[in-house]
Amino acid sequence: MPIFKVTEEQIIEEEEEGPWKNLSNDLLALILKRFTNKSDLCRFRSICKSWRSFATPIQSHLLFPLILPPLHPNSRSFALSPTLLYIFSPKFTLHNDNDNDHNNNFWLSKVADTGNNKWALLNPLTKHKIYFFSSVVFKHGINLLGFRNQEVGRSYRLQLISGFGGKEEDAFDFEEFSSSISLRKVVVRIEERISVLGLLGYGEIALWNSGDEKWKIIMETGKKEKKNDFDDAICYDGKFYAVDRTGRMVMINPTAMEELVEVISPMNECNGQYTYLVESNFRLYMVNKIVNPRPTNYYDDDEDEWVVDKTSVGKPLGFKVFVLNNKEMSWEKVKSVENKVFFVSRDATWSVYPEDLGWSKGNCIYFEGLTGYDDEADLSFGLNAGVYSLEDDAIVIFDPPVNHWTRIFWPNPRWFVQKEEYPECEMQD
Amino acid sequence: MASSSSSSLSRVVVKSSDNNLFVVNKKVASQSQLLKQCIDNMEEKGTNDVILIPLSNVTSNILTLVLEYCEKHADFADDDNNNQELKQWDHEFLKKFDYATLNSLTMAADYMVTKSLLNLCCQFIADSIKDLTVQQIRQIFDIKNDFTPQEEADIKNENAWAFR
Repeated sequence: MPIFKVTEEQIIEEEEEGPWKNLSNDLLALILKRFTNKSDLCRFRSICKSWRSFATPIQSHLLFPLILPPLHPNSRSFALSPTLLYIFSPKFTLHNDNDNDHNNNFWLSKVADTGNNKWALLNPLTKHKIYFFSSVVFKHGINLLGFRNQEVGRSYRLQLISGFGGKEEDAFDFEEFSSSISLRKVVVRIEERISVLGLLGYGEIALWNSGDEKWKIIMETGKKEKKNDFDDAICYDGKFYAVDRTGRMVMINPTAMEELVEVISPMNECNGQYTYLVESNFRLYMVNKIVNPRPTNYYDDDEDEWVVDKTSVGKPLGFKVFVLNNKEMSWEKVKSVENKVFFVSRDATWSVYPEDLGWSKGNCIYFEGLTGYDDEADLSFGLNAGVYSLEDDAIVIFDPPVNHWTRIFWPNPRWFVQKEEYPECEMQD
Repeated sequence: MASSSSSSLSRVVVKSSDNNLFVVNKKVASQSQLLKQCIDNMEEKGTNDVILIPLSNVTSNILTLVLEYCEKHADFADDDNNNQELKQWDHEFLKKFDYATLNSLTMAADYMVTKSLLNLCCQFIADSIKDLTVQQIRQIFDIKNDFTPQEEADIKNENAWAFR
């Protein structure tokens, strides 16, 4: 006896236009639920009439900007918004194309929502704003539908909101804010509730879950000193993790209201000055950066005097890379990052497939430079920014600033401002 | 409980829309809520016979893929530690298919109530939309541009990013 009655009508008839246009509303809703950005929603709405009418411009699940309470009773509330890392490309067909010119057809940039539907393009390593010489770009905007823009990572920032009746000009820049009260990194977990972890200047951790009236400053149980000195934090596999420079890692389960739990103890082998956490291929990596801690002095023969070489401070001397062994909860030193390209900076880390940059080979780590010495640092990269190749165990500092390594994000390629929609910004050859 | 060991089934037979039969281990079948419901119903009745579940909407090509997915997930069902390996496998799984197959697979996951596979498919589709140009999306999803010039102009406006 059949369990179901099978009727002929149940067999789906394919329309001549293909099956995608007629996705059921339930399925469309499931797909739509996965967009948390307005730009993705806009793209979805630009495909055809039926998709457009299904997705209304205002979706309640579009989360950002999200308003968060102030950290201190007398300060102002925050607006949380994502900064997206895109690889832009003018090409419609990608990969498997060994044309050398392709190197210039991929451009990595950060796009930050600056409020009121305005956006800023930022240098991915330094977070400096990128300005275009053509004012036309600013007048008309850039039509992103003309590019392939692949989101390869995102970071979050908290901006102070102005008080009652305040104007948008009052809003603080994140950099300005972070230097004043030192909120170093913001990590976000989006599940049924939104959880936000803020890494404070002295390594303290602040935690907020949607619905909470206040931030919770979490301390380690049984630890006398207030200082935790965490370098980096990440959301990995639904939990927050933070590390210090010794490789010691703690886990914070955002919804279980417990204190942090140490999952990995300090390691002798991890002896650098700064540690970053990177997620790649669903694995967690730790990058330990060893830098020159003090300036070196040298004798200048021409001037006949000792000179302090300011640029030698923070010069990277080496890198160590570890991968998390999930079963044993330990760090294992590795000589390869599975051919991916890592980017590490204090407010964000991410990993990219080399193919997405038009390369065949990756296995390297881009790192930020110091921006403390503004008079000497190159604005495009900062002082001592560079790339570390795991294969050769070699460090290349971006000096001169434009070379094979840097052109994936600096300078911006001409095609980015030269689309046919804006013929007036064509540059002269 | 009705499902005592004497009346519990170890296998079921699933029939695709093109009349191919698949013998499926109960643990694997349970990844689909639809199949699980059928098995539970039969077990409650105390049947010892192998049951046949016809799936009128799923071709054998697609059913093979759904079952491949279910099998992998059934293997990992009791093992929380290997989350990473399973995620990596999921990630690679959908990459192999063209978009017509992906469509059928999504429909089948929906019909067979295999929620995790459905979520995986929807995430993949959403990521494709995020990563591609409008022309590319229309091309791969085989959708015609049916907008009027006025609507086209609105869309252009909506998508222009103002920089400052």
